[in-house]
Amino acid sequence: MNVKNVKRVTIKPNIWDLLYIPAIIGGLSITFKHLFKKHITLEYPDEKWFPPPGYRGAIRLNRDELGREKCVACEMCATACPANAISMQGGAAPWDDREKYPIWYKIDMLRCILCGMCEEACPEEAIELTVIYDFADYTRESLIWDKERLLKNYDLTKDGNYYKRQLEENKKR
Amino acid sequence: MPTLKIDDQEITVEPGTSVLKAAAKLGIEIPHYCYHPALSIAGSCRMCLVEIEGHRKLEISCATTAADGMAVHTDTPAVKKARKDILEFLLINHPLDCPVCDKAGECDLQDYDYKYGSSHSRFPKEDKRVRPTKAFGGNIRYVTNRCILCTRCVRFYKDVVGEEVLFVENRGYRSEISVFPGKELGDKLDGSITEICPVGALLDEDFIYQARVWHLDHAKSVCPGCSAGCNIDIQTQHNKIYRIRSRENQAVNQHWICDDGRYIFHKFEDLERIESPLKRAGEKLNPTNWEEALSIIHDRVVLIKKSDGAKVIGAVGSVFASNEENYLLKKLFKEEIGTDRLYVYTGLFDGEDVTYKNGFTIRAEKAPNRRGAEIIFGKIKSDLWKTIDKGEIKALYYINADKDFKLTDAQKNILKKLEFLAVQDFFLSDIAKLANVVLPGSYFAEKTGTFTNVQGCTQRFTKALKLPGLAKEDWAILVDLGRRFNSEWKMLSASDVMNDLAENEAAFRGISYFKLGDQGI
Amino acid sequence: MAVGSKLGDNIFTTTIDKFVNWSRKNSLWPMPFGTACCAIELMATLGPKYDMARFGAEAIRFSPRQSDLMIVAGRINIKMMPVLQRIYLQMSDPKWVVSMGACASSGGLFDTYSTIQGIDRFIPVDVYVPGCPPRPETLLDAVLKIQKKIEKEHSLSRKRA
Repeated sequence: MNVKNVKRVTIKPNIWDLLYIPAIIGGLSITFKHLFKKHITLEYPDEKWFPPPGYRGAIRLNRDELGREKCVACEMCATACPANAISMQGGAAPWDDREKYPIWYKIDMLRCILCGMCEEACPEEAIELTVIYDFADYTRESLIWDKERLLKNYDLTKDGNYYKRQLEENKKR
Repeated sequence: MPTLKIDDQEITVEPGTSVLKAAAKLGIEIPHYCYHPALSIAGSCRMCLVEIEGHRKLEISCATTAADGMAVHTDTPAVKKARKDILEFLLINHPLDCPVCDKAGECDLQDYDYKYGSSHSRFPKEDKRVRPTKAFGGNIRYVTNRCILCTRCVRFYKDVVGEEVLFVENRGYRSEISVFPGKELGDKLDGSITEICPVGALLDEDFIYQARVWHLDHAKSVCPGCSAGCNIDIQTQHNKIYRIRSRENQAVNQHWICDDGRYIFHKFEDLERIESPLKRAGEKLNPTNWEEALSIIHDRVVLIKKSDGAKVIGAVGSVFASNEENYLLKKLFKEEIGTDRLYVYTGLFDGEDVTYKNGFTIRAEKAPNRRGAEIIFGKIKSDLWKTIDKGEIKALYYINADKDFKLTDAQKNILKKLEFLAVQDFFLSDIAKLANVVLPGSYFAEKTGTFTNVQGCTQRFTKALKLPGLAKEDWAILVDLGRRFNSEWKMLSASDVMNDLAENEAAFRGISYFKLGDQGI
Repeated sequence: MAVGSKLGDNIFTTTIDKFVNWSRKNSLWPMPFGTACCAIELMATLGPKYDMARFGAEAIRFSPRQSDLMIVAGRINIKMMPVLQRIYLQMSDPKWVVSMGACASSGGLFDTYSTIQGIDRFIPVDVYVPGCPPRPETLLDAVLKIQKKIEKEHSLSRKRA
């Protein structure tokens, strides 16, 4: 790069520049202004973000109109799961109109990467990812969710107002 | 020897070969439902249609004999359209049961529709014909909705079993398979119809709903139920056997296995397994470790050999044990310890040989390896109990591999006369309960080895399950024991034992696991 | 500790417990052991929107001697495991561990020869956070759960769980 016509300028610092005080006051005034601005912090747990409906959070098993799980133990979800988090045992269903159902169904939520492949693979729309995103826990065993726990997720989220209810419960506490 | 061209590839075949078989030899797949290599030709499914130059219409390749100079095409638009149309016909009334059907993953209809069919139905909103599911008897469930009427099951009973039990009831749209009135499925070969059915219409109640077939691991094995030695495929998941299927071996069992062998794995599930070596302390057997158990046996044998000589030590092999184990027993006791008293446990005979129309035979001798035991031990001596009774044997090493092993009270009393009894067993049988030292072994699904069947065919079986607790494969136990007597023993795998056996026994000369392959010799 | 058992459970010791627990839980100084993608979410949690400083956990210290909460964020390989153990041992009591994300808690997607299938095979973990990666709120929920756990401790006779 050719630099032509360079003008050399010398800045002579005056006393105020040398003391740095105007620079400090200028910088601090920006910080001071922020004290009175509206903060952007999301005050969890008093405020919670409501995820949009397609959000990939915790897993639930859907119920049909009669309250039974829709799952027919075809093991498509277990085959599709990239982390091998799903396991189940199929068996003859105790109801007349259904052939097969899962005797037990477990998802290891600590292996689950919440990718949604199981939801895509399911032919019966029996498994879905909900909006629940805050389910940390103390032990590994409590995060291996069985059928009842996954169906409970359905009961909690089927009306679509999970976080609204959570906030109200929080306020009551 | 006609020479024909299939898809521009030339092949020369034996006279009388069908075009479908010739194509299979070339590796060209022609989809088929009603054709089965072991059954008579029906020609009813029309799935194997191919285009032959010079013929006006498409011909079914299963029934067309290859002729010299024939030019066959399996990938022309006409053939492709024919396959699509037939699949469409079949799928009009075939229920959408794939998620719940056990055949998913090994279903011919699924596979061919994926490869040759269309992905959309032209009848999506119409109801399919619904018929009730029938229980045919035994373990067979017939799901009428899924049947595509290939009639393989009907022809199976006619050609292989010899007795016609199933037939096609009604005609046309109302056709379905039924059991002849007055007859019933009760034959030992019934389970095979669940294998030959190309769709999920005939299902095995023993396996239904339990697992998906693509999750199952396979292990090539040999059925230990009788001396026929049918080739089986043990399918397991998470260290549990879910089902046993047949493997093709034209020389031994063609394509079939009997129901006794198909469900034999259930008999092993309930047995009380020994999980660690046991040693006697008074009336009880206490768990110990391998070091101690093998040392006890070694020291006692050396002691008895010093005081009374080698001839009071006896060993009992088994017709249920593999060739490797019998050979190692003989090698250990004859060469290292120096005793001649080698006996063989023979098990029971159950009825008569049952032979079916195509030659498949269920043998009366319910032990897999008598020929092998006879070759290795020579003539089988039958005076074991008398010899112990007389006091001529003081120490005995007994291998038991029979799940139905039972001792009579008289035999139990005779065993009390022994000074030392070591038993290598996989469950707490009668004799294990009386032993001084018990070594935990394994059964056929947990070890590798060979059996020699009644026809003289030596076949290899491989490991399907992991061993429980501290149990070891039977040949490994004998190698460990032998190493204490002679540290030159260097056999690290069952294959090494086989090579050793092949070197030292004339009848097995030249045999190795590599040569045995899948089909045996 | 002998002190706690001698004094027993009276108003004096429970008040001390309450005070000590309150001060500990409100000034957790995390040591971010971030190895992979979860570390980004950890950084987001420390950012202005999901401020972890509201819970007193602002002063992250990369020195184990100066921190009391170790947040393991990301995959731990066999090669890294001795390092993690050493850092954990260098932390002084009282200390807590949060296993953040699927990979730290159980190996997650990576069931391979080199990935540790869960750090609780080598160090004790107090809270597991599922997710890949967990949302910052999930991590805050985990910190809240640690706080709840600390509330129940007997600080004078502290037993490591």
